Amino acid sequence: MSDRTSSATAGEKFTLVVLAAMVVVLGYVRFVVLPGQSAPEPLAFSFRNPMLDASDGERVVFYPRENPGNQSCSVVRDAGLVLRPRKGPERIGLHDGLHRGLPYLACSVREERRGVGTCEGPQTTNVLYALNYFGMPMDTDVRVDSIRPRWMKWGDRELAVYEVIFERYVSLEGRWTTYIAPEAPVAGLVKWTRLAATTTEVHFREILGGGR
Amino acid sequence: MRALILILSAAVVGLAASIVWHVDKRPEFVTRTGPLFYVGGLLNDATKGEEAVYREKTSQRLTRFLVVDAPRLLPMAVPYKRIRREVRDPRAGTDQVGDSVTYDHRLTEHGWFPLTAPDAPDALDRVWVIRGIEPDTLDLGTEQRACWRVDLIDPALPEGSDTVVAWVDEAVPVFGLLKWKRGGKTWEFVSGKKAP
Repeated sequence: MSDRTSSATAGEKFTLVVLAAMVVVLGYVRFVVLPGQSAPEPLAFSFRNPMLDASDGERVVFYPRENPGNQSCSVVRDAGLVLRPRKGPERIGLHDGLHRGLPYLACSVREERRGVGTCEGPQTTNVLYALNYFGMPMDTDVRVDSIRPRWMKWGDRELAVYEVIFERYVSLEGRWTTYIAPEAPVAGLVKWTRLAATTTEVHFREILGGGR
Repeated sequence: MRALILILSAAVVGLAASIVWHVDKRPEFVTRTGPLFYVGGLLNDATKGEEAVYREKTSQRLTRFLVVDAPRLLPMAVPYKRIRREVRDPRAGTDQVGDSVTYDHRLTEHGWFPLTAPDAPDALDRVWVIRGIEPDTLDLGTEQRACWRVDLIDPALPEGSDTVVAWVDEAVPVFGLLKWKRGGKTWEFVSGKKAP
């Protein structure tokens, strides 16, 4: 009998110790850890068109997700921001009839030597970003469907970007998404994706000291 | 001893409940995102017969936008709405009609806003350029209306005075425009109707 009593007492002591430890741990979580993890406020919506701040020579590296070694550069051409097309050139490369076309940001696309970030490779083509197309080139037929700010990892940084969802028509039709950040150079592009049978994704990487 | 165990047990349950109560249970898409601007709910959603009438504050002239046609197209085809813009001067005795024009508003190139030169829809160099977008509240006299403020540039206006500001809300017919300011003039939504 006395054995049973002493065994029960030992069990009670053990329970007491475990409960005390649980109280300490839970109290620490409740009063120290939780208050320190204040919930992030919903992101504010305050969009500014990054293309209107692009300056000549600004550049960014881009590459397809499935082949990061295949890098190219997008470099803003001289007088590349054209708000009044009638005052700009009538033709840039293969792009013709610009005087009556949409306002745009003109960039040259250059080959990029892997990882160097000089953007001094030979020019391969030109890309004109329509100023209302949120990072999509001017020669695409896109309709903006929605815009929403969200947090996104870009390199080592956490950026507030704008996720812009489009419907694209005529060719490569379907749902496309661009991610735009005011801090990102050139057209403000961080990433674009196309949702189709297979997802296509292109990433943009800033060039330290060479971008915005 | 048992009383102490009971007290500690109650403390454990209480603390656990308190943690569950206070922890942020919102899903990540809420804590990691902001408000959605549904552009597709503006002109893209307009149907045949929809109309909106605006009064320019200084001249009192009325501008009416009417969706004449909103064809159903194949998924690959560029969507457009056939828009009729009428300008009337109610002070000119006979309710004179002028500057009326019908054009096809191509949603890809012409965007979400009315053309200031609808008689020249191929002059894309005159399409307003988006400078910025943010949520706003518009004082309509009888109510404070939550809407979106869109700051734009009109390339057809001289540099330095080329700013256009528009306030939009999906609930307003046709372009969703509640009000816009351009070149020192202000247009305000007077009336409108969604298609029956």
